[in-house]
Amino acid sequence: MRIRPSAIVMTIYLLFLLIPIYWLINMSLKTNTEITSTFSLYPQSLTLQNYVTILTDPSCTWAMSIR
Amino acid sequence: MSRITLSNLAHSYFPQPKSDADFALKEMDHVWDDGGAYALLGASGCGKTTLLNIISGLVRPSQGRVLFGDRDVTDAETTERNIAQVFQFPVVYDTMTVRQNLAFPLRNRGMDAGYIARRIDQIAAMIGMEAMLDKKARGLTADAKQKISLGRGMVREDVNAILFDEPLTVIDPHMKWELRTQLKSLHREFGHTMIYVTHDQTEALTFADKVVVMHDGRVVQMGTPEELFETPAHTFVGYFIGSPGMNLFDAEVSGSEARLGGVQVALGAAYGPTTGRTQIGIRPEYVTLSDKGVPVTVKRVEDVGRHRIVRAELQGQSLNAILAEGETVPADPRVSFAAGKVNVYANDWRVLPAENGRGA
Amino acid sequence: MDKTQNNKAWFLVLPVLLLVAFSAVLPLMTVVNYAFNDTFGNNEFFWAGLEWFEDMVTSDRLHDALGRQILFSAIILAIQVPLGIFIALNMPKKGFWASLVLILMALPLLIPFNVVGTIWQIFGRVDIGLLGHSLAAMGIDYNYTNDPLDAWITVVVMDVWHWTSLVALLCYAGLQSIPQAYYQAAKIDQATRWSVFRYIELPKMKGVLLIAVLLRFMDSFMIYTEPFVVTGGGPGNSTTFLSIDLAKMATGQFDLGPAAAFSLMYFCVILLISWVFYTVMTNLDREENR
Repeated sequence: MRIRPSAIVMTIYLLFLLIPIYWLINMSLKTNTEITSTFSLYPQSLTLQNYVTILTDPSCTWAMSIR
Repeated sequence: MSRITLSNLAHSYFPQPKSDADFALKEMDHVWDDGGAYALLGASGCGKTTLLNIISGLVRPSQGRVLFGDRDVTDAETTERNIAQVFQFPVVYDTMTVRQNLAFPLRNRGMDAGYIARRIDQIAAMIGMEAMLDKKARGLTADAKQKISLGRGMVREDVNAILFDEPLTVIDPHMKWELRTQLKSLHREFGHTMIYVTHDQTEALTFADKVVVMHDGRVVQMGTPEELFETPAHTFVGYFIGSPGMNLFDAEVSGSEARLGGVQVALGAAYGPTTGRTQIGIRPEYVTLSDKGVPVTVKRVEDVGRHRIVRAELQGQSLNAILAEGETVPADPRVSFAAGKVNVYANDWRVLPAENGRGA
Repeated sequence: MDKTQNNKAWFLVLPVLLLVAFSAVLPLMTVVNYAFNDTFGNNEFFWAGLEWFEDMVTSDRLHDALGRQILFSAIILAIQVPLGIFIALNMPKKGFWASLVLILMALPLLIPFNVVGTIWQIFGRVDIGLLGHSLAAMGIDYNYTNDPLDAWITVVVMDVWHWTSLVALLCYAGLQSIPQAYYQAAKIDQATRWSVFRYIELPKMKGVLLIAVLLRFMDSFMIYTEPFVVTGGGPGNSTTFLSIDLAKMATGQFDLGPAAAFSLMYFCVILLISWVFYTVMTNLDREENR
């Protein structure tokens, strides 16, 4: 099948939009040591610790007015 | 200009059509003569527009070939086919003037400026827009815009065919008649092949030399207005053409007689044995209401001005008859059918009388 | 025909007027108050007249910020409007892919401004960001915290990332309103791709483009959060745009009088330029209708 030029344009544009978002998600799933010590395209040791921290830290929960 | 041949043509909008019902156009083989004025007539959704777009190259058929003269154009782009098409709703280039709109198809083909100017004056005179040539197209009424579209369709002299897709839908009734007459005289003058899509039988019958009736993705009949009236090839043609349409009765046919419930009707010709659902058809114009013949129950009489339409029931099946001015409904109404005007249908297709060969 | 005048209808507008008075006019008057007075606290005010305005009009610092701001908005419009149109022309028209592309394109528009700043702040860093790291790996010397040009590029690319989809989506809506018959007629008239764009697509997009240009101008002219998060206005003052400068003045140095005068002029400039855009574009429209 012939690839349409518009498909190429849209792929490039969407990659441009999504890669920075991916990078943020990627960072959120890494440990602090991993972020500072190594450079990798995906989390080597996947962790949800950052989310646990943010959802339990009292100084953070008030900001989201959970209570 | 050239003859248009549709060979083994069919089209489905689905990539993998499974059944017959998936086809917007069912297999057909037709030849459209060079210089003919054709009307494509049919109800909405019968495939008229699909067929038109296949001829103009906007849609590529899923099977079969399209030939212009001897040239196979099935895979040719619209621009290569050298065709003009006018659409149902006005298509004008808003930011251009009327003149620029009319010049656009010629300019794109690199015609000489002097020729363009002359040609535009001719077309403007024809559509009656000389006074508006330098106005922007945007502010005009739908009528005027559609006239520009028509003008743009006719501005090229060397086209293979001009296709009209219900072009007069948005035009005023009196203007409709005038423009149709214009188109007709234009056809006589230049002899372009013209294909005119419409669902209005009056429009079709007045415009065309040959009317192509479509039903459910099929061309059910291609013939002169007279042929469509006298010998509809399909019950749909009988029903769709004429006002009211042809009367159709379920019947049993044997030889030159039909049995219709409890009564016998003479057919005027002998028929061989039929298979499937058998019907006989007669135009309301050929039904005579008098005190002789088969008894009917009259339900009501509608006065439509020139004549009256009698709505009646014959052996439990509905029947329409035309009553000329001055005639009255008899106290004991009976009907007779004009000899030779009765057609026989098997599974909706017309059966030829046995003398002329058998089957449709 | 004469219409009967009935001035009682004005009372119906009263609730809206009151609401606007409380939510917009009163705060604005506070700013106006600061702009024409000097204060040393204690709610004591001394009439300063046009002094603050004179200060501001002649201030080099303001001139520089204004220059940067105009340059920024011009770059943003010059990139986002053509790019938005181009993207809209390439978007799939219908089906599954159209829906998917729409959703993905809307993503940046849904992200809070400071998060956008954070995303690019991280993304551009040479040590942990994909962009910075990749550029460094390719041997390109890129560092938005040291190099003013790199900082500018980062801020511009970030804004393009954030807002081009808005322009594209607006244009896409305009394109979707074009009936298929126009494209078919253009084919039959043997129009070139450029003619189709020039005579069919562009006229249909003109209304939404006016809105897009206005929105993008106003937003980019008032930009604050994203560059503040990424560069903090630096290096030096190279990415200190008007509102960043204003915030520095008002909350950093507590120069309330000059900041208020500055705000008022800022407001007037935006109003003026928007008005110019609007008038020019609607006049073009009227010209063409004639």
